[in-house]
Amino acid sequence: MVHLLSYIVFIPLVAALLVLLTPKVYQNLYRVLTVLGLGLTLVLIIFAVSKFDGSVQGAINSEANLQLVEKTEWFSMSLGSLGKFSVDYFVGTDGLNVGMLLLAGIVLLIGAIASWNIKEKQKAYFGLYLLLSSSILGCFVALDFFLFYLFFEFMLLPMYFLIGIWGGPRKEYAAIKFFLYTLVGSILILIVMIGLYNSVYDPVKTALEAGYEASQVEQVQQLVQDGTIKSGQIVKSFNMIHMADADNYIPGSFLEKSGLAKIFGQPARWIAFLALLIGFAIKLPAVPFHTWLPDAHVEAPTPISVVLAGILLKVGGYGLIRTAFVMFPDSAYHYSWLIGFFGMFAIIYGALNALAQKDLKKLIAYSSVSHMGFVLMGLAAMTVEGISGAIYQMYSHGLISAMLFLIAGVIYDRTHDRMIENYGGLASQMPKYTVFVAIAFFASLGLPGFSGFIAELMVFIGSFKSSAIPAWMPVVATTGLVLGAGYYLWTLQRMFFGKFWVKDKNWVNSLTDLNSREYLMLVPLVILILVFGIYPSLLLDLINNSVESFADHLFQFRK
Amino acid sequence: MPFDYLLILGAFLFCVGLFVVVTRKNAILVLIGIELMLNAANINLIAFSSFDPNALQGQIFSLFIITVAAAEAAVGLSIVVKVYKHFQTADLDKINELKG
Amino acid sequence: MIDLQDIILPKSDPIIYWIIALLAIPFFSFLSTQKFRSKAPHWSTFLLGLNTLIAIYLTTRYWNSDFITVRGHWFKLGETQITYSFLVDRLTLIMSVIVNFISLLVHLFSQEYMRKDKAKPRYFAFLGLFTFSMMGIVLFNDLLFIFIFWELVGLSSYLLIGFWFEKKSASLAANKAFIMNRLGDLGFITGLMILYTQFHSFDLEAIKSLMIYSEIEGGNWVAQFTNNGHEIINTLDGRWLSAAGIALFCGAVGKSAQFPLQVWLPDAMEGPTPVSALIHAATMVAAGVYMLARIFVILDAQALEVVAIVGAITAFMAAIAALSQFDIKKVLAYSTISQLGYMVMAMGIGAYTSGLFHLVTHAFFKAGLFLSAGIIIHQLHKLESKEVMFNAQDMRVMGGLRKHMPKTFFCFLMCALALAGLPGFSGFLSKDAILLDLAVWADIKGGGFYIPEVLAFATVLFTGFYTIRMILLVFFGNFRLPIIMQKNELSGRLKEGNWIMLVPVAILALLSLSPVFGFTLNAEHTWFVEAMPTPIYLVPISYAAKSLVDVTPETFEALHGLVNAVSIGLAIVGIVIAYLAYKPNAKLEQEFVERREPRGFFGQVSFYHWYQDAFYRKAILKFVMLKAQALSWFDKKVIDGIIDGLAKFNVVFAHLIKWFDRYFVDGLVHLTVFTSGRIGQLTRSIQSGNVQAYILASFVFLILLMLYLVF
Repeated sequence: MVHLLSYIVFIPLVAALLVLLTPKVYQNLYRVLTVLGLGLTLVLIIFAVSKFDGSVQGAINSEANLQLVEKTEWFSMSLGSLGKFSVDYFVGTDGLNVGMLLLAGIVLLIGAIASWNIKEKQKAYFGLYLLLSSSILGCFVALDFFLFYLFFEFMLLPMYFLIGIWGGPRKEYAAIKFFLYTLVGSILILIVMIGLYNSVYDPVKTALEAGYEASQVEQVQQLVQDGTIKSGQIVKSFNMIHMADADNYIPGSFLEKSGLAKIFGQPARWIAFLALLIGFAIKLPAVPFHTWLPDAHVEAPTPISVVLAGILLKVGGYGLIRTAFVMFPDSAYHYSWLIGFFGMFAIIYGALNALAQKDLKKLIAYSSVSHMGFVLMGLAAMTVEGISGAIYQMYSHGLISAMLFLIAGVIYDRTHDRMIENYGGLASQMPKYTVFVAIAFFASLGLPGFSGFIAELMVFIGSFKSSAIPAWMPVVATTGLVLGAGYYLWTLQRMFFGKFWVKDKNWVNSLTDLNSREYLMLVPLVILILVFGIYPSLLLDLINNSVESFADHLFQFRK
Repeated sequence: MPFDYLLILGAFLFCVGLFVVVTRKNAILVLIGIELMLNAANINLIAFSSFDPNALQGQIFSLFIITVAAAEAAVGLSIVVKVYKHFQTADLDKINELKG
Repeated sequence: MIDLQDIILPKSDPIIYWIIALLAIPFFSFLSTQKFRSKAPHWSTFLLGLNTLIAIYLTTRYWNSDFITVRGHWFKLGETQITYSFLVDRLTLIMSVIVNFISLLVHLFSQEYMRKDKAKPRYFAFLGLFTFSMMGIVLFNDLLFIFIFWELVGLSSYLLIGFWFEKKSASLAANKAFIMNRLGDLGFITGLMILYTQFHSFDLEAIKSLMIYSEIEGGNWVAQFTNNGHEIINTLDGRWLSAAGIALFCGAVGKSAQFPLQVWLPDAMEGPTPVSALIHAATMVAAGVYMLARIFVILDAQALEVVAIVGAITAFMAAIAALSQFDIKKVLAYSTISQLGYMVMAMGIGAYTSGLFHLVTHAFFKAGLFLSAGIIIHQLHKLESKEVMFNAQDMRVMGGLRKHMPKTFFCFLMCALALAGLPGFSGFLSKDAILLDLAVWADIKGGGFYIPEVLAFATVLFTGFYTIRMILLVFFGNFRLPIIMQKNELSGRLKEGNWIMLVPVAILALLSLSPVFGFTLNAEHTWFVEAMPTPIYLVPISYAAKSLVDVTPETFEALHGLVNAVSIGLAIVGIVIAYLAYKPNAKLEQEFVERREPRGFFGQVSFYHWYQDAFYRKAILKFVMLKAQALSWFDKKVIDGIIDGLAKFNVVFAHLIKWFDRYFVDGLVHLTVFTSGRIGQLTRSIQSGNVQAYILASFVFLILLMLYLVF
């Protein structure tokens, strides 16, 4: 399996083509094809993860750290005296994305199963869903900024249609809001990407271009610093790994490490970092860029909510780690207070907002905002514990929020109503469903034994230990835990406990307990949430070395 | 036979052809005129091929033109038939779709 | 220099199999009980019996051996190893016996109590889950794991309080319990954060070992050690040392129902009564005290003061509240809070042994009281019918039960006298030990620290009062229910509970006698106190409290007689006042039935528990909800409004651009088109559409061209 990652990324795309080529007469095959395609992808991902060696050690900005690498030149052109333009097809895994890959595989498959009873425009739906899957997976493994950005943008299009066509009553508003919000973020990212491209060169390719051996990288870097190698021979690069190394910045370039370039009187690197931060914070989403999320979640069909909360939000967090923090560690340290504060703010703000919601899906959406605050705070801490916690939180929240939205979908499927106040005492009518709801709620409010607890604990101890953010931040943020217990238990009490009562008498017969397809989606999630809550080494052993070198990388810039 | 006679015959034939092409209203007659003009050119080619007794390129070339002219006539006639079917007439004065 | 990795090396011991069994059996009960349906009670009781036997066996085997640690690695965070570890010492052993034993008795009792409940498999499963989590707290010696099981105990308490989830009040009480506990747990987590930051471990042994070597330098708390050979110097402000202790104590405040979070416990009485006996009287609420005992040595002077003061306040407030309740379970709940206050206060003043002693004695007599009350409630429920509806927990419908259920009365009385602290009963020994330590502590500290002593002694008086008031109202006088309902036949139908319920109660009543702990009136000479010496503080000297261990025995001796006399005297005074006020046909007893709520300011304050609940509901909960609503409004209107405003601005701007585009940019285009159109008009007339004309024209021009070329 030489091209394992490519298979993983492109199998959904092939499945999408197959769906498009299947005549409409066999439209029941679409969902089978989708599930099979994503099932195969998941198998390959599990194979890739099992091949992933957690003991590999290397700096976060060296390719020695990467595994399952595939790298070929995609296209390049000479720009005369401006050097050479080169884009690689460069994918690979390290500790930072291996967990995300696994998560994406799991959630996408579960989303596909959840799509089973989509009835209208099946061909388009499953085609778009597979396209979305492919671009998400691509986004997680791409290590060339150009490729990353391509996949990143490509997620938007299917998502826009999936919300806009199969969504609820206000689907157009939600879809356009989602699209525009994300696009604004993308533009900021694009600007920084171009800036980085103009400042970073590929030392290996430059060496070959200037007539040196590929192994003489350090010498070439020195020669570039001296100005011996002229700009015409410099091969510029979109390689994210090179972008993380301060030695690969062209002297005098815009985003150079010691650069004097300023925008509005601020160092250009700070501005570039902020642009990336905002770009990905929109995707995360962080307060105050979060308002697309409740709308998108409420209007999106269940499987799309699952994918949206389960994986798409994590692209934001992953992007922050992979680009903003790795490439601008100095600026990250400078802004860590701000990031930590917004993390803490989001935790409490999201929780308080969730407390005031009447719509079950909105409540879950705001709880996502709250939980993503932990990611920001953990990253701002810049300690091994904090970063591990942030990554673990993304992973665990992916599983838990997927389960939460599936649960909201169960009730919506039956009655087409999500208002909490319209139900009461469901526990006596749907006891098994109630058990799963309780599990999901307790997992989400951070009960020990479930994966969310490990993540939140690590974020807390990491941020308290950190010298980058003040100790009061995690202490204040702990109130989020109580508020979390508040809104979940209150919901549980209002909807499930007490005497059985529903607003519309016609619902009584449709409120049946879980069916086997719903079990098929929920049981594996419960098992995974428990397994990762009890045996965190399963993931932590894979990411530990990368996180450590990431933390070291960040640590160098602290004074 | 003096060389000039051949050229005069050619020129005469060409003029007749041109006259037919320009004056006749019927598209088939116009085609016949075009054939005349082509053959006038052939006569010229054959005449000049007397300067090249070994290779006889002019004669070969005129043979080639005759063949092509046959094909061209076939295509032209079929177009005329199509035009007739479409406009219900072969009168070139009435077929003025290109009028600005 | 001391290396962290050396302290937390994995350690193994054959006892691990027993530990696993102790944890696994109740957990298995939780998983499997629901499968047994109607046999579920028997099955889970059998499993618990097995577990109790194991606990007793371990206690007899390991009582006199040194403590045993078992440790393993859980996961790794960078260089830091997160461990799990078990500790088996005398405290663990005795706690595991108490937890399993009382759990077994409650299982037995519930066979009868829950016999008619359809959901009893679920009930017994939850009891299994509770026992499992409680054993986790007891056995683990790792703060992180204690916290994990701490939360799981909270979960099982939530599930059991809300067991009758169709009752709204039950589910609300469950929520309240869980959220109040969580509030305390915020402190616990903060404590974990502080200790982890300083010592890079949650392992209590590691924390203790490194705490010894930590120092106070210029107001900073410095911990110096190596981890895997890397030298680590962690410096925090000295105040964080106290903060760590207080923060961890917050966890105990939640779980052990201390001021200001104690309001959940009275509401928790919504759960089935055996659950109240097990969880909300004997074991779970004592977990806070147990945890304080585990972290006792790392608490500094300031933290200990806070602990002591909070404990004293709680004991006093709850005792006052217990004076005027109507609901028998509420009286018992407030008395539990009050007694827990004693235990916590004991920990705070450094009376480690006395506090634990009181934990043990209280577990037995309070469980006995709750189970006896359970019998009464259960038997009264049997009188209920469609015509006769009443609250079976309300003491206003009771009275004179002594004649109907003499065995229950006898057991109840024994446990109640232990609660009141009369000589001959276990409560006397342990309470006296605490009061003696308190007196010594107050003498050492002096000044305002006499206040806790005053509060604690006043509590003795009130305890005597409410205990006897309860006994008089429940067991003496006339059976009031038939009088209220005007149905005399009800009186004959009230019977004694059956032996399944009586046996556990009788066992607990016997265990409330002081000879169980030794034939002595001096706690010093009981086997318990002799087995469990107070450890010394490990915090840096300048922050450490003055230990009671250092006080000379003579000081204790000097005060002992006085404390004994005062406490017995106060208890008797309380009892006498109660007797005079509530003896059959006394004025208060007569009035009692008709009253809806106590009159007078004092009565109101007592009945509503200092209005604390109302304050929380009206001030804090309302404030949070208002804030939530306001933020939701802010989110929808302001943040989203800005976004929508931006979008609208864009649309308006786009319209402007559209106008500009149509009339200006497009105007230019139109001009070009117009010009070229005119030129086209000029040239089009040449086009006749006649093919022959074109041919002629081209010939003419060809000829002209040739003429031009030739000439």
